[in-house]
Formats: sequence, C-alpha cells, structure tokens
Amino acid sequence: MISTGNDIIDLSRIDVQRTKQERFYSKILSQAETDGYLTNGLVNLPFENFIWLLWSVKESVYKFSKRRFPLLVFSPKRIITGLISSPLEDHLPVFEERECENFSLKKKDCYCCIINTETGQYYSRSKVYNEIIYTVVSETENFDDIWWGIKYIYDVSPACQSESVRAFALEKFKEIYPNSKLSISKSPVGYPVLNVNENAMKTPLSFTHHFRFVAYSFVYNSTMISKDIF
Amino acid sequence: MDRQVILNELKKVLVPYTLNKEALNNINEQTDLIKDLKINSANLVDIIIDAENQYHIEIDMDSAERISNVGNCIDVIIEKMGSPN
Repeated sequence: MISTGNDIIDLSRIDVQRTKQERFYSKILSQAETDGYLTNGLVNLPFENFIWLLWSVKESVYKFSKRRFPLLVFSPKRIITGLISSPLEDHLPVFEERECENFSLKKKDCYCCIINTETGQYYSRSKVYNEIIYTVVSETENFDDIWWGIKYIYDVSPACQSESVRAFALEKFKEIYPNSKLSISKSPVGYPVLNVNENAMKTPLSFTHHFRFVAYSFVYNSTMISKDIF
Repeated sequence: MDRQVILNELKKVLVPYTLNKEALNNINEQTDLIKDLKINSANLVDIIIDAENQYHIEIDMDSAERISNVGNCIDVIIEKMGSPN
C-alpha cells in the first residue's frame, strides 16, 4: 500500500525561546538526534528551526504510517531520525509567492533525512523557508512521483484552513482528471480520500495546516489512473 | 484533587492553543484536543509543559502518548501527582 505524509510549520507561531530550552526539545528528540545538529553540520540553520525541522519530519512519518497502521499513536521519540543532509544553498529563502506547487522534491533543494521506526525505514525531504518548514516523507529515495503544494491563507480559522487545503488540492486534481466530478472525503482513520466521479481513489493524499499556511502532498503518476479505484 | 477542578484549570491551560473557542466553552472529559478543540499538533508539547508547570509534575513522553482527550490528560495529571483517582 503506497502512502504519503506531509507537515508544515508556520515559523511565526513557534516560541523561539521555549523551543531552545532542553526541557522542550528533549520531549521530541533523543540526545543522539540533538547532537546531530553539530555532527550533521547544520549550524547554518537556527537551532530552533532544526528542532521544528525534525518535528515536521516525525509528524510526516506518523501520517505516512497511520494509513497502514490505523491504531498508531504519535510518539515523536519512537521515530528516530538519522543522517541529515543540507540543501546546496543553505541560506533561508523567502516564501515570496502566495502559493507554490510542484512535483518531485530535488535532493539538492532540501534537507534530507533517513528515518527509522518500528514500522519501517523512511526518507524525508524538507524545504525550509524564512517563514515555514515543509516536509514530505516517502519510503523510497525516489520523490519523482510526489506532488506537493503550499499555500498562504488569510483566514486562519479551522474551517477556512480545512476548506482552503481541500480546494487547493482539488484544483491540482482537476488538471489530472479533467471533466470529472471531484470531491475529497475523510477515511474512518482520518486521512483524506480523493473521489473521482464518486469513486474513492487509491491515490494517497495528505493534508497539513499551521496558522497561515496549508499544504498537500500526494503520490501520482500516469500509470496509476487505470488501477486507481479501490 | 477533584477531576472537575483539574478540568477547569486545564481549560485555562488550553486557551492560548485552542482555535475552536466554542468547543472550549463546552469542554468535557471526552473533548478531543485535536479533533474538537482544533489544537495544532505542534502545540502538544507546549500543553504538556504548561501542565507540568501548573501541577509541579513531570510528564514523560510515554505518558504523553496516552493524551488524546481531556479525560486522558486528567488521568495523567492525577497519576503524576500521586493522588488517588
């Protein structure tokens, strides 16, 4: 069963001083993971962003795994992040556009991590901007079939976040399934399900939102259409 | 400590992180922190630390894993305070 998981952090909402306190980050990271800030040479990344980068990775792995293991409980310290590589240009870019969409996540543009959990090994690619940290997880090192999008929203109410991310993803799916009736429902486990002409699709889809930003990820290539219905 | 007293105090702890203020007004032990109160998962560690400060306890992550609704949260607080339930 293929899956996907993504997570976004709006850095305007983090408490920088609290994040940097050991009491805070020790609830998320092991000592070895904390040491990785230096051993992986990530000092160009502010320490608080490093903490939230790994949170984002762990949350994405949880979402990825939850599709396969519905009873899974989020436990950040049971998700162990390993070697982390930095993007070629490690200054923090500004998220200049109101929305940003693409497929694939190039290693050279991302912080990349290998993750081990009781449910398996995973790979993450994270884009870190001045304003946000955005992560997508895969179980292979190939991210070519992963589509993703990030959008800035003005109304941060829970209803608007939910509505905005659904509309954003549906706009993308309209390009893949033109002239079809599209909708998004929620599985009993809680992950989003794409419906095309009222048929639930296998296309794994993940939503995330944090304050001013919403984002989606899904796995798709053209060979999936013919075998996409549950 | 009485569960209702803890619930009322917990409500104050949750205020800064709760997006659904109406659900917070109607909070009960079955209220889910994420699904009902719309608390972002990124704030869960903040809530644990605020609860630790409020009750002078330490909540390890094994215990934190059990917290999904208000009732679970009260269970963990009482357990860590060493009070009879």
